[in-house]
Amino acid sequence: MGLWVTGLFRYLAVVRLLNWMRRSFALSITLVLLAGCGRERPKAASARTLYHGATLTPPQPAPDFTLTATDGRPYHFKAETKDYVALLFFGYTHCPDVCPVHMANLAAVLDRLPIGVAGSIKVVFVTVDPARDTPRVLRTWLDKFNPTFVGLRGTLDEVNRVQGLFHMPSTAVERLPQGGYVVGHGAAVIGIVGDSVRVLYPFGIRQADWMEDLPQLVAAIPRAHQTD
Amino acid sequence: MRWWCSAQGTPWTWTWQPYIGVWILMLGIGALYVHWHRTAAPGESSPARRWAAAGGIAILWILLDWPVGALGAGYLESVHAAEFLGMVFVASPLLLVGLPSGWEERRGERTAALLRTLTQPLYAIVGFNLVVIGTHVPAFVDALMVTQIGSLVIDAAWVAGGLVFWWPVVRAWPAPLTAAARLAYLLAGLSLHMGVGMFYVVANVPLYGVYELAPRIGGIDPLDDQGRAGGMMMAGDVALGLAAIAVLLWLWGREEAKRAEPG
Repeated sequence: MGLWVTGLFRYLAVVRLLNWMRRSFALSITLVLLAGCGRERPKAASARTLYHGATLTPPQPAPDFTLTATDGRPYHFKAETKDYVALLFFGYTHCPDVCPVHMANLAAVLDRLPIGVAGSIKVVFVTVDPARDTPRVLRTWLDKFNPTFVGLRGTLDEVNRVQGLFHMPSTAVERLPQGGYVVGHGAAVIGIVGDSVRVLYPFGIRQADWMEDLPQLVAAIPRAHQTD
Repeated sequence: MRWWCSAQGTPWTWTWQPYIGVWILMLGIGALYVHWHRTAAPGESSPARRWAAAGGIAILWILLDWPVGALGAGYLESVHAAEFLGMVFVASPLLLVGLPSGWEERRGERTAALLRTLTQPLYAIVGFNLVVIGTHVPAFVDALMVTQIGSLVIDAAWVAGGLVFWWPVVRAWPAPLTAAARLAYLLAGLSLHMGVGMFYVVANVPLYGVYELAPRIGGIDPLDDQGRAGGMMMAGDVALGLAAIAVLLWLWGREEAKRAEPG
């Protein structure tokens, strides 16, 4: 299991740029997730891909959890995001590649989307490196991308439990020969609409893909809940 | 150790890295030029031609090796655009000027025939524009830039396209074009490239995954960088176009003056 997890993390850490790799990765994540849930295979008739990520058919209920926001207050995920599209990501501020690219691309896209769409989206970043990501460090780092991004912290056990709820691999720390460490973590952004997980976006998702998908996801929010 | 610059997806570092393939190729090209100048007939080689060759090789080397080559291959589109401009519009004409004047006559018959065909203005302009379009198609670039061979293919296509494009303007072989024809040829050749630059400027999303998904350098946004690349391409075209127009108009005037001389 440890070897499998280490191997998976190494795989996730490698930047894959080719589209065919991105698609195959997205497909494999979907299958793993569905298998992990003990669900039936997606129905072929309703398996039309609506989004550029791995679409979950049918959508999975979004698990609830509570962690601490960077302002020190408890953040009840379900209550805070039920009227929004939530883009949940597990990462850390010392991440050299995947995390800052995901955050920068999301920030760039939110800047260009109509305000009504962008205002209905919450980007929630959960640190998998609470030892180094103090509330201040996390807040400062997120503010570089977009001050509305939500930063959450917890103990490593709490964060691993939350990752488990979303069928994401647990955090794995790898010591570097020159000192310090890197943290292995899932590279996918989880797209949650209202109270259901709709789509997983692996690393490799492009700004053009977000520009197409996010308005669709916002349109899928139950109408009574949509913001103007 | 890597032999050619390509996108790696790892964070940028200012630690020097050797690219052995670039060194071997540049030394090989340098050796060829030395051989050609040493074996040239009297009067075919000159210090100006040798300096032009040395300048062309030096610029090509700078553009292909670390850090410019590595930055352009995997991190910043603006650097890649600068490489394109440098290879196509500076290094290529210098390499052509740097050949001994009778170089073509010393090639074998088959090579000469191939050169005559490739460098016909119509074929040259079509070939160059095919290179410009092909090497800027996002899917093609994203697929090639992640491998060393693919990145080499793009670099080689740029230099080859540049040589073919400049041949009718720089080399008076097989027959020299008039200044007016060269002017028309240059403007026609630059127009499509200008269009590519304009497309970069107006695009509202990054076009190339290789730059969009690369770890950022200094927080530079890939869309801003793409706009910068487009601006550089357009500015380069305008500058080159104006310079070429100035030189060719002068040549044109000189040709007309000669024609008007009595006797």
